[in-house]
Amino acid sequence: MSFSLTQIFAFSLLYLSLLFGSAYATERGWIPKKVTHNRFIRVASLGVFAGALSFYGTLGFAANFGASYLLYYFGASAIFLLAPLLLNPIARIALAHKLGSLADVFAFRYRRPWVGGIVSLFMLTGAIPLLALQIQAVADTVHLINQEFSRAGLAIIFCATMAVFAILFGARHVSTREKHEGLIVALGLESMLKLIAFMTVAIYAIYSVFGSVSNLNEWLTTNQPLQAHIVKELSEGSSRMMLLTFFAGAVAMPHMFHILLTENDDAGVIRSARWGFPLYMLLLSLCVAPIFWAAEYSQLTAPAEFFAISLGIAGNSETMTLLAFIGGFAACSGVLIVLTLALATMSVNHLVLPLYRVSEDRDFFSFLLNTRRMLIIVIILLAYGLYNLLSEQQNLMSLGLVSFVAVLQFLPGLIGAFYWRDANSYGLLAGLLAGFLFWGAMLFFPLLIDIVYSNIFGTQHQFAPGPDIWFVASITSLMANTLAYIIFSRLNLASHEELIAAAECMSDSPILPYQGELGVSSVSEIRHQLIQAIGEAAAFEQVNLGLDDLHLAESEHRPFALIQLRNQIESNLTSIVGQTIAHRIFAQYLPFRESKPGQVVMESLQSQEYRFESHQSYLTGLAAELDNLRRYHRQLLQDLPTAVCTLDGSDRILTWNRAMVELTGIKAESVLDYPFQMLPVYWVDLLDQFIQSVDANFLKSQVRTHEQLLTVNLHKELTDTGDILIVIEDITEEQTLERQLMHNHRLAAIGQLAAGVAHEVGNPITGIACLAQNIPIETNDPELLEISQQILEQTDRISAILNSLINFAHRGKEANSLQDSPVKLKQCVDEAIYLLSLSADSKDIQFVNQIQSDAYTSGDGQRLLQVFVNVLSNARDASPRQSEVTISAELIEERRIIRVVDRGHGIPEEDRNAIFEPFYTTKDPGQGTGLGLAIVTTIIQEHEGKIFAEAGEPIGTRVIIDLPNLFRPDIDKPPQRLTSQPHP
Amino acid sequence: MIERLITFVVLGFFVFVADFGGWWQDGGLMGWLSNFILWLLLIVACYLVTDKLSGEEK
Repeated sequence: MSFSLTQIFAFSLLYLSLLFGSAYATERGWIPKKVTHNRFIRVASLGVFAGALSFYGTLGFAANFGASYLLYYFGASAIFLLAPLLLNPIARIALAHKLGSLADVFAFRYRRPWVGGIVSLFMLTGAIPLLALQIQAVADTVHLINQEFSRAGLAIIFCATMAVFAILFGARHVSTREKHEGLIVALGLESMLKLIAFMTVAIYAIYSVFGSVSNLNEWLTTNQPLQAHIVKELSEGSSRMMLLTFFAGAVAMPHMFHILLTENDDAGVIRSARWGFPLYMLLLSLCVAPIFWAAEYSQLTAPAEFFAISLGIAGNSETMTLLAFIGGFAACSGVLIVLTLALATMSVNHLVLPLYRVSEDRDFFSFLLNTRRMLIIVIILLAYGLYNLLSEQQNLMSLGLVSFVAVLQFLPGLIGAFYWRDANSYGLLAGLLAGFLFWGAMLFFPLLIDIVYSNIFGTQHQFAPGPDIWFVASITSLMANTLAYIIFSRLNLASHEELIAAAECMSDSPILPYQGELGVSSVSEIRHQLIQAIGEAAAFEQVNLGLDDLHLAESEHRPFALIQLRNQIESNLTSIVGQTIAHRIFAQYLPFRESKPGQVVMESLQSQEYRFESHQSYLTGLAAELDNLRRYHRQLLQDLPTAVCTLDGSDRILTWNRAMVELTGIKAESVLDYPFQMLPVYWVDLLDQFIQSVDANFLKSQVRTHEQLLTVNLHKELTDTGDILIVIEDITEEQTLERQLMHNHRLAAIGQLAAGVAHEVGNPITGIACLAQNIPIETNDPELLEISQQILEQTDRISAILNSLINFAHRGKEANSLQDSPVKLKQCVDEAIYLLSLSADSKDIQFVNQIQSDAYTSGDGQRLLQVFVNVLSNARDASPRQSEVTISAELIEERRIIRVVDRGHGIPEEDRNAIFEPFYTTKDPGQGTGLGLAIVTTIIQEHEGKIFAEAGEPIGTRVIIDLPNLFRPDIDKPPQRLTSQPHP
Repeated sequence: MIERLITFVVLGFFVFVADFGGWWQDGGLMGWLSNFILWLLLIVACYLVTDKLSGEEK
């Protein structure tokens, strides 16, 4: 069975349209975000690992080494199953520092400018054979189903198409924010398609070739076809090395790193990949054996690597053949695209940029993008060149292993980065050189020599390393690498920067090294410095992006905020140009400088606060517990009821707790890291005076803010770090209460004095009255009788005043004897009105009692009667003749609000509170003692009530008495205490 | 606990890797499938661990 070239191109075009279409639809936003950002799609895109080796190579491997093909699938899965050991630490560092490639990780940890370059160079060299084998697999497959067209022609079409896709969807923009969503969705689709294709072929193998599962089982049991391969079973050592090789490959291969970490910023995807990727590999590996058995059963003569497609051809099944072809095509294209992209990015960042400086007037990002696109083409051309030199029968697994063993050389450096503090760049360099020397000598150069020799002399390719050669090459190179890494790391000391990076790599949490002071003092200065490094357009873009990220204003000039901005821009730029270049740019153009020792600690603390907040989710174990403790203490300081702030040696505000915010009305974020001189002038004056003073305490200082006059106590303490801790106590309320207390004491003293005077004066007055009463007995002189009568009247008046004084002085003592019974307010008021009506002064005033008959309160009826007599008599005295005094009551929230409204001249606002104080009266001299309302106030307070006066509407005064309500619906008869008949 | 078990099993697989081929050769289809049972259990264990972590994070 054969397909025409047109058919093959049509199906390939269909698949590519699907690939391009899904990527394009994603980029244009036609596919909903919940689909494109779905973790299932993201995890599926990791299936890009399963390239030609998975679809073709493992079948060849199964034919040669039986079950050992599983090592490829399980080895790659193992890095995910053991994610906490290596994958998670790498992901943590890569996501925290936006490291876009393995070279960035090495450059971050080993802190030498050349580290990234060396890693990129070796990676590029090692990965080219893997790219070449993808091209070869596609070309060979097409040639298998159609021999009309040359392999080279097919390969070049395939390469060109892949280059276009990689440029369009993988190098579309240079941005720190936007990932290449289209690429991820297309790869997810590609992975699923390849899995479905492989599984369908496997099911076809079981049910179409064998007929049923039981037939397959019977065939397996009776023929034991794999016994033939026992002799070729891999040795224990080879198996372990194979496992280790694919274990390393799954994390160190650039295309895996690119999909897992560069194009992903969601830690949840990495968690899901821990089980999702092994499951994907398991499903793929399940398909290999049935296909291989079916091919054995059918006695296919085609190379074992192409059994999947050969089954369809042998069974004359066009569908199976096409499906196998598309599956293989998808597998190869995925690896080719992503691996090329990752290598191009790595090469630009670590090989081109360190050697070529972009001039200021050139658009830095355009240069970056164009160079990356150019490198994509160059790398694909290199792979094509190698493919072109390869033999048609080149063993795919052998070629793949050359690449995987090259990548294996990064494993010691990678493990050391996260588990060995003293590991350093010298060890890494020595290890990589030794490892790649052996790799080159035993695998790569024999391959090249073989290619050159066979092409020059036209002989058959001989390079096909068997398991023994492969095992020796891999174990030797790895041993040499590891030994050199350990020895040279031991012989040299790690730099300070390396130790900090090592601590961060080995820690659960990000390390916050001391950075010092920034040499710029404004956003525009940062921009100006950056323009020199990356040009005007890129500098403007990056600074604006950083400002947006941190919600900072262009006018920002706080040192800590500028440090944050600087670090944010460096982090953003790292994801574009890599760690090495970003670090170099910022070290050169925006370096930190040493500051005074006292400042260092707080500056760093501010920085830590910010970083702890942004890295909280990364903290686990002891670090998380310590962070919780830190948060607890910080919260304690924040929640202190006393206002606390700290200032550093430069008068900058370092802390500003919640009580301080409440006291001053100034938000913490608007003052932190600013000099305290930017506070309102009334605070600056006080604080400045206090800081300058030798006194550690300022007591009862007054601050007149815009709203009020505050009285505060200030205390200060100089800390060990040279900062000033200032505690401010707001004692405004205490001061008011203190003044009130003093006033009350004064009144109490007056009361006692008055009672004493009344008592002392009372006796002689009684004597005078007695003598005056005797005068009518002694004489009939009308003049003397008149005088006697006047004396008696005056002594009665004096006695009345004295009784009031004594009564007022004794009020407090009587509080405990207050009777508590229901009082019907309406009747109480009626009685008061009746008593007042007995006086001649009440004749012209009409009292209107509007209180409802069901209004009750609880208390002493007689005293409340006294209250109403006093209040109503005051209302009467204030009212003009022929006017009306209204008494009403209202129930508001379980309180009886009684209002006594007169139409008098009113009380000036400034006197309204004073009238309730003793000895205060607005009446004419001799008309009042100033004790009536004071006694009323005391009685009302004894009843847990309040009394106050308001201006009447439109004239007069309204006295409000607020008493607790007694809700007694069962009481329909008047209270016992007030049983008198209603008065007119 | 599950985390340690996963590590232990995977490292155990690395040590005894050569012995796993025996299942393939001896047991027919069931022998072949038995290769995957341990692998599948590991995947389930990883799922449980990550699911728990995700739950705690929420």
